[in-house]
Amino acid sequence: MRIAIPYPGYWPYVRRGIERCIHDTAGFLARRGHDVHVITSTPGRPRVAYDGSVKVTYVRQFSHPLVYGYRPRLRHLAFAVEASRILAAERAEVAHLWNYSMPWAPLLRRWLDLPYLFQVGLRGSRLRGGPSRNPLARLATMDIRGADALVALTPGGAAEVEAKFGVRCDVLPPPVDMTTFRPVRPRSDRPEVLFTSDLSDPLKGGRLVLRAWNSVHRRCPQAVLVLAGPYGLAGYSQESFGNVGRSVQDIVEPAAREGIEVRGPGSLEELPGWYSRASVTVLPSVGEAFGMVLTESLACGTPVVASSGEGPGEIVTNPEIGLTVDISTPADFESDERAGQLSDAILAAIELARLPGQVQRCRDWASQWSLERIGLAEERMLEQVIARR
Amino acid sequence: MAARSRVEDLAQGVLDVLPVTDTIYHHLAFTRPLVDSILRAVRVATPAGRVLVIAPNELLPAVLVELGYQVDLWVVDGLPLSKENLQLASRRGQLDEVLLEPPTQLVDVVILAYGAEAAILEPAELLHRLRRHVREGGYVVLACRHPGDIRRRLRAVLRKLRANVRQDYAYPPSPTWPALQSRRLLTGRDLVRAVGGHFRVTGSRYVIDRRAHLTTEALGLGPWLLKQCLHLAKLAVPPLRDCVLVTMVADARARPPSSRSLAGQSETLDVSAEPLLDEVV
Repeated sequence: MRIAIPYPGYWPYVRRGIERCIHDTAGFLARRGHDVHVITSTPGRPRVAYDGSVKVTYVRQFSHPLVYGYRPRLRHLAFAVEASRILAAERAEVAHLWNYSMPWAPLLRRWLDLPYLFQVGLRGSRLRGGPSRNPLARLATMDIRGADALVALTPGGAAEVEAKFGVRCDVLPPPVDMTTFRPVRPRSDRPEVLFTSDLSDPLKGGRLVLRAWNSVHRRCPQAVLVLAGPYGLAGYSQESFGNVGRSVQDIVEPAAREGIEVRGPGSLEELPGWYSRASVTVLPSVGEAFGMVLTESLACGTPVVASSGEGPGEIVTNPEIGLTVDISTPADFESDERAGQLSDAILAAIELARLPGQVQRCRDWASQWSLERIGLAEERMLEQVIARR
Repeated sequence: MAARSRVEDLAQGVLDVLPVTDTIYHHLAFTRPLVDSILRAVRVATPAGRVLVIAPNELLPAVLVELGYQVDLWVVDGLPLSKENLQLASRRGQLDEVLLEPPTQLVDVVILAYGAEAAILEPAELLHRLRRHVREGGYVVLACRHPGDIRRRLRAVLRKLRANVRQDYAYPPSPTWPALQSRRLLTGRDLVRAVGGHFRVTGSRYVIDRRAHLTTEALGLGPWLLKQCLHLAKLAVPPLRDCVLVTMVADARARPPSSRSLAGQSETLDVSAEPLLDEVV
């Protein structure tokens, strides 16, 4: 198959869940002998690169302070125009689209005879749209409603899409590469609590983690909180990444600050080591469609603590591999009660990590999302999309 | 001119493929003018050799390596750098700690940006220490914030007109540089006076350390135009620029320091510890 995957963000510039998912599945499909082309954008000069045998075309981003000041969505539209031009020139057999990548995808399907699989990576308040008679609103969501195959990341996500858009939605979870993400280092002597999400993203729960940290530090002074997330998404988060330090200053008590290490996002090569050394990985987020950091952590043998709703709640359903905290709205991030529950859960997970056989238990649980299993499922879906053309 | 554009092209080429997130990319691009100025000064000083960068950002050492220099880094705590850059580091710690350690190897060029004004050591003492790391005939390139930059001047004027004018910023313009808080401001003349018998100044000029705006900051038309005007003013009138860049060569025959220059203490600052990103004036 000749597969095109247009999406505005990709490595190394954006390293969040969807980008990792595209990277891993594109690599898997290329290794299976398919011709895979990722079309994405760069803040620098346009270029073509090869990620293994995956061709990556970086088009120039449309970035300007006035664009971000007045019409930030223009950046997506500018990307979609450039990506359409490349798709028209290259004539792939099938496209794998994600949210925001190609609003006029149904038109491209007709003009270019390019069927597409659409994967919805949003949930809750982030998933806008739904039944509407407003022609503009319908136009903005025609990529979802007109897809040849529509998939969400979890069964709950699929149900939400079906309820909102009235179309059939299957499930295709993001994979975890069990070969890359495996226990590569022994657990640290000092329990490490790993937070790999974006501190400046208000829905990732970073502030709640910092609030909970005061209590964790009092009850387990030898523990270390490792902040290893990226610093915002350029253009969208206007909070300076210098403010990471200020958040710590504002929320964390002076004594507890000693136990915080700001590590930054690091590289893919470093991540398995960081997960392996940690006693627990924390993701108390809201509006999370899946939560790839949880499956990656589990694949490295490290228990997790997550919110009980949406994607994370559908991953952490086994108390032997992690715990959940009832977090459902951003208001919960400011709640002392939730901060207390999160600190209890973190301390319980640290104990969980000390149990014999824990590494294998976590890995076994993560294997249901293994790249081999999910990659083959995606390959089958793309073949079906082409066959139905 | 050709050499100038070659260095800038190379820096852009390195930045284009640097494996950094887009936030960091934009910050590195925002502060590239200073990197370009330093690179040009190094190229003029010596086309090859061993370069020591004290308190580097992510981009500067990567471009120096690309230019063929042997690079040694003294990394200052608090700024996460890539594995590639950390592998080049021979020292790590607080700025004053790394500066005070005894010399291990002589280099051809020492680069220090935003450090002379942040170190505990007074400039004359700092240069005396740096001299011990530079071979005879080697160079030191210093980039320092100076008191005459346009924002400081404008704020000084505004303070006379109204009370609530924000304080001057103490940190470099982007968190992709180490958070070195200024203790003092230095003019080119201060640095020339401080060289004493250790160096001979070969060049001193005003340079711009940042672009007009960070590409990804959301701005309305008014603030955007104001930033453009400030930048144009800096381009047109060099003393209004952000930094002074001084190149000096280690020269044993240089005039010894006068008692006045070693005794002179630079002016300490009363500055804000706020980051600079929402700055207009």
